[in-house]
Amino acid sequence: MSRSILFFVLFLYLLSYSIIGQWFEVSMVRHVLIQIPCLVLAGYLFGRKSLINNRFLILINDKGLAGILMCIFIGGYWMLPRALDAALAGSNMALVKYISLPFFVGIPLAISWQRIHPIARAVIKIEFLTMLFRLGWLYLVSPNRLCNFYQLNEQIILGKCFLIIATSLSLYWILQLFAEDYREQETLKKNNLYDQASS
Amino acid sequence: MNRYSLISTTLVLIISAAVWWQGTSGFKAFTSEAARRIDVLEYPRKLSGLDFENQTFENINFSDYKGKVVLLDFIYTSCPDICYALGFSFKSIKAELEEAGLQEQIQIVNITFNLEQDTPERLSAYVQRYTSDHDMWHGLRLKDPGQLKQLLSDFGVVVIPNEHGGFDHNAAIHILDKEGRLVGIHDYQSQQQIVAQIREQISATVL
Amino acid sequence: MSSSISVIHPNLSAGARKTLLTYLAISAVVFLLMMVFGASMRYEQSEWLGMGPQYFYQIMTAHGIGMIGIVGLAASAVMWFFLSRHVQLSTPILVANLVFFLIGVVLILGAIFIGGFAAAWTFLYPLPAMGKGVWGNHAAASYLVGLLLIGVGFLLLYLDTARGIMKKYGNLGKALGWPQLFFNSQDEAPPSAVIASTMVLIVNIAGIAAGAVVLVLSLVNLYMPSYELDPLLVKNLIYFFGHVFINAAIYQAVIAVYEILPLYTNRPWKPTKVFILSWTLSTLMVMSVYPHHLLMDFAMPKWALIMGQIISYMSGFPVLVVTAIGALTLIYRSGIKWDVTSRLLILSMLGWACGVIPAIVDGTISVNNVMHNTLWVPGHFHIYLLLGLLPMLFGFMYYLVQSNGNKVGAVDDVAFWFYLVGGMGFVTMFLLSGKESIPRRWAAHLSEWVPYDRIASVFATLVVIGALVFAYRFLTRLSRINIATS
Repeated sequence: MSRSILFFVLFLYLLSYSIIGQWFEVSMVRHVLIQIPCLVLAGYLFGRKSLINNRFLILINDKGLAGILMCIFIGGYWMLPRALDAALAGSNMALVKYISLPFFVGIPLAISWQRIHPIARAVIKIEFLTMLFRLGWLYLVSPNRLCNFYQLNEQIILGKCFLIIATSLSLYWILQLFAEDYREQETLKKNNLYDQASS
Repeated sequence: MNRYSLISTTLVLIISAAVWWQGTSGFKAFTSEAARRIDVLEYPRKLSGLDFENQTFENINFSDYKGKVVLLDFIYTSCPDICYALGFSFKSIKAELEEAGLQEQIQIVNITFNLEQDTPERLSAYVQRYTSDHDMWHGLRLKDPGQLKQLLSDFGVVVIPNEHGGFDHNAAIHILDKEGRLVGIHDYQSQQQIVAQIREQISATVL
Repeated sequence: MSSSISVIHPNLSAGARKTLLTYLAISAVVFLLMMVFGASMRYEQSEWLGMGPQYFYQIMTAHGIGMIGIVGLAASAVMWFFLSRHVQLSTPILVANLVFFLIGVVLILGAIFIGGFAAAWTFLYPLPAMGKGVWGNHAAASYLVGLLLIGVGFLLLYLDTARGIMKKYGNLGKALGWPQLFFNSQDEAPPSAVIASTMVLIVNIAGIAAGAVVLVLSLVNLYMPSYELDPLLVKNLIYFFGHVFINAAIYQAVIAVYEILPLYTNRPWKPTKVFILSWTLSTLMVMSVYPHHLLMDFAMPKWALIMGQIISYMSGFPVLVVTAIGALTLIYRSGIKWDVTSRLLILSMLGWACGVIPAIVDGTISVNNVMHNTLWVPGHFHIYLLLGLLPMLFGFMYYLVQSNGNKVGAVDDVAFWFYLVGGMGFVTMFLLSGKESIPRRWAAHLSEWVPYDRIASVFATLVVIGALVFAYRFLTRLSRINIATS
């Protein structure tokens, strides 16, 4: 537990104020597609490792509702071009970014994903994909720069990246629906839950 | 669902709504450029009293324009694209206002952020592209390069160097009222709205 | 063996039963209303009404979106009824879909009849943003949001069918019968209802996702016109979404044929390898055939148009041939019991099969360039929908009405013939009008076209009368529907 906290803090530091952090933020593509996902991932991994069985969090996060809503709304906020600008403008928003992405997006996602209704999981996945397609398209057709801190051509590259990611992710998820056997998965999952409950 | 989860869910919803409301100026502005425009419309912005010189080496302060409505943009003289569009837009607005006999009431200003290269001579040539009236149309540069950061942050303008040796910057036309406060920011294409706001500001009484 | 047809569902909960009957009751009413709208367009062209172009285009928009939506709803009820015999489905989600649907309908009707929105149901970019005073941006937005909500409801429903199917059959490949098709598996293939539902959920989830992208982008463009979209890309996505959705309605409703006809002939309908193969092929074809809507768009890449033509030729075939031949072999010398249900189901096979011919004609690029904007095209899809899809849905309703010993009168038989003669005459007039190059989507017609319109109007009236009896019978017999558990 203490070691995982150490790694978590170290990872966050590397992503944020260090020279590495600045390297990410110089480019819109690295900022959006590497740094932000890594901050979320740091929180997610930490949450999976250390918080998923926390009794208090389970109590206040029945069916994963509060957690998943927090993850969607706060994560969605960081998709606004304006939020990116604010984080770069040298105000306190940078600090808010480094805290909110792991703690209010990554961790809630980790502790809620398995608890929400399977249909809700599927809807979120599809909405995530369609959102990537929409954003990619909008970034490509936007007549103006959306971020004051980034150039128009970077925005276009980012738009294309969104479309590529959305396409690959769709194909991957579709393949999964044909390749895996969800009968076994259901029972496996049940066993896992029993194991966790008994430990 | 248990009581604690109900409370936590409600809290999450309230906080999220607040974050989004604050972060988008009430669901109106999703980019910082839009936010800046809405902000100055609602809260006219006082500007710092910085010292400039113009293309004829005169010392200029925003307070020298008191009583006139100022149309202002940020440029660099070697700008190959957007500054031309802004310039021709100014020229066309100027023509429309002159036709209405309002030329005495307005001042057109280009401020350069490229202090290393843009000398008064270059500014003079820049202004000459659009007009020979060097009183009504000023090209300004800061006298103290150390004040550039203050100037840009007053207006909420961000300038980033690009790989062609030029700069990317907000392309907008700013309007200062007769008191020298920033009251409007528009796309250079929106001539109708710009002229409408200028007329409105000209007819406003000075307190 | 009693002479009556048994309606059996071993595990239909009271809540699910009530919800399904609500789906069908709403459908019966809306079918009738939309048919009246459709007929009134023909009356207007016959110069009998004088409603004027503004109302005409509003009614045209309402007729289009109303029919697309309601056949989707009714067909999903058919699928749900038969699929839930085999897999466990969620009743709350069935209810949620209906709620989303009704909210969407209110928004759409408001957009059309209060806001004046009349950009045709296809909301092709950039028309919704160009009301020019006839409708405003808010009306267009209300229409788009309404459609988006309806999409969300159906998305939930198909995700739930996917979950139910995968939980029992493992994954989508197995549910489509691929182990039996490709690997010679000796296990029993999934029932036809499961194979059909799997195909439908695959194509419809893809279609709705495309619709969700294009609807939101159209909304963005309404309020931020500087975000200009590529009209051809938008058109591609809209037709992918729309074509898939209306096709999927047929592929859901046909489950009624698979499940009900065997009861009338006392012969089982077992999924064969050819059956499985044809459903797999149709899954791919339904998703790749939509470019035949864009044959006139010369800016489209040539390969896409050629693909559109080739797949148009083929796509009608697999499931249709398998189903029609299956139905024929089922009936041949079976001593089939003729009543309204079986007649409607056989008519549906006939309508579906005949629909292929004008479809193929229109799917030919050189013909399409001349014919696509004529009444030939409404002729083509009305054969599919009025003579193919709706008889399946009405047939299903009669199956329930005549459940376990309930009888209907001779008036229903007469209504069937009204519907049959009216429907055939009605679509024939469309095709003849198309042959005479009478344009589609025109509120007012030249005087030399009016005779065609008047004959069509008479046939349309016959259809409406037939449908009125069907709907009346279903609604007044709702409480007597008797679904046995074994």
